[in-house]
Amino acid sequence: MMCEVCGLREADHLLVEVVGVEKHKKHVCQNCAFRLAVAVPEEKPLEMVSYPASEKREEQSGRPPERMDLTCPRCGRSYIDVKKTFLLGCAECYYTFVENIPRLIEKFHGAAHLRYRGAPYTHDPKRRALMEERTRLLAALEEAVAEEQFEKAAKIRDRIRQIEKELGWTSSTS
Amino acid sequence: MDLIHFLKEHTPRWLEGNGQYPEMVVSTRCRLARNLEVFPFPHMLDEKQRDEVWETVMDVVQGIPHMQEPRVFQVLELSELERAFLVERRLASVDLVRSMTRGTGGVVSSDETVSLMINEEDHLRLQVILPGFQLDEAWATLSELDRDMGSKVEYAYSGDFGFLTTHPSNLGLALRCSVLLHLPGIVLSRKLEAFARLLADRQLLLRGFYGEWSRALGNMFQVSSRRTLGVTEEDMLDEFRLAVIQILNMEKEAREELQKEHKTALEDKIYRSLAILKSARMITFQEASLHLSFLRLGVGLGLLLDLPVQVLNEMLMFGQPAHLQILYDHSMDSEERDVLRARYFRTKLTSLHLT
Repeated sequence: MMCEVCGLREADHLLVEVVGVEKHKKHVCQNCAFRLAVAVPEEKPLEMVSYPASEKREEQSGRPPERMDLTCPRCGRSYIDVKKTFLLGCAECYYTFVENIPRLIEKFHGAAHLRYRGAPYTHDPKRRALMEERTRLLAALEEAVAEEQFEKAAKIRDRIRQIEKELGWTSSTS
Repeated sequence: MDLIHFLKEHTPRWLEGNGQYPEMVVSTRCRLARNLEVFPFPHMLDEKQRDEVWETVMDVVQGIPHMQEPRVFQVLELSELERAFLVERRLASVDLVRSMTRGTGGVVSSDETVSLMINEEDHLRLQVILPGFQLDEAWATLSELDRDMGSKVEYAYSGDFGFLTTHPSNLGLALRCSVLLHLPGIVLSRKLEAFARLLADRQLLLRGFYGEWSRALGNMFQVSSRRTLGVTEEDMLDEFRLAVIQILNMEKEAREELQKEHKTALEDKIYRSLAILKSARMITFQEASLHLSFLRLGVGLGLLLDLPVQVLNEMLMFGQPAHLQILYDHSMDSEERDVLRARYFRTKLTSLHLT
């Protein structure tokens, strides 16, 4: 996208003007962004956010194709919606779309391989174990369905429901 | 509303003008984004679920040591003026107050150091603001608050990605640090390009100050950290601290140069600004913010020693449009605001007997 102010350079900054409780957004180049941010001030507040460098370069090879057909079983959000808005629907979305998450990380953090390095967090080891079991079962369920072992699939599904109940998840699909 | 009435009568602790370099660093802020494991993210919730999130957070906040005498607001109960007031006060984001849905609002500690936003982009935004440059102190308070809350309620978290957020840009530590900087030296000596390059090299974001004074109004810049994935909390804080110190050194050098080469011209500007703010009968916020910047610079250069930074901070905060209208208890057009703003500044400054 070209700069909405000068139209000469590629837009790589987002300017947000705050007027009362309204926000006006404009995509601009670095030159214009800085010029506007520091120029003789108008009576308008403004917020300048530059995109991470990687957002400008697109795509390289040697990575699994983006799965566009996924929908989160817990909240019902499709990956297509995530691509459109860059808003995930729930914690489970990060597991459901796990193959695609490195692309989002590259877009917003600069490199696809980056992972969490902060202090580990555990609220309750029992709950954590249940969630991990559920993640494993979801994979097993997919496999069972693919192999047309429907009886086995039904059993797995029951166990998943039971776990979700134990976890107390509220879900828009249930 | 009770909360608004309370806030009007008090100066938040982060405007008290102490801490490190209070004249150059107005305030230091750290914030965390957190979601509750059991609920879908806020934009997916219906009204009933939003209420449930609200109730859950209200239960959790009870008895948190950093949340003594918490004061609560719901966006739906506020007038438009009150919403703008909370944005100016930095207790609510524009996105929060524009969300006219149930279960949207915040909690504020009595000195305004600690606050939460509920059902904004994420279920929880935890924020700590302190005066001056106090990065370690702000982070220490915030991480204690986070630990206390995270042991009472389960956060959405994965070992690989860290804290799971609605928008992937916050994923990981989900921590952002920012400082509100007063940089007249850099602006006056036209070093903004070098400043912009430094921000880009250090992967920092430049933002305006919400309320009417962004767009570098009054030579104020808000600089915030960006890295949140692939980095530990300590490393991220260290990087940010070093970058801020580099900016402050740049500002100090610029001021020294100005003082060496344009000493009298600089003093002239400072004392003219004092005279204008002490005498004007009408003043826009834009003009006032520039004169307040010169007074602040005067304090920094050791000229206006009887002028506390806290008074400058209060004038900048209460001179904003929504604050002024709340302070004088009625809504005004911009002309009336300019008159009352000038009166407010005169009263503040004449009571100080500055020479």
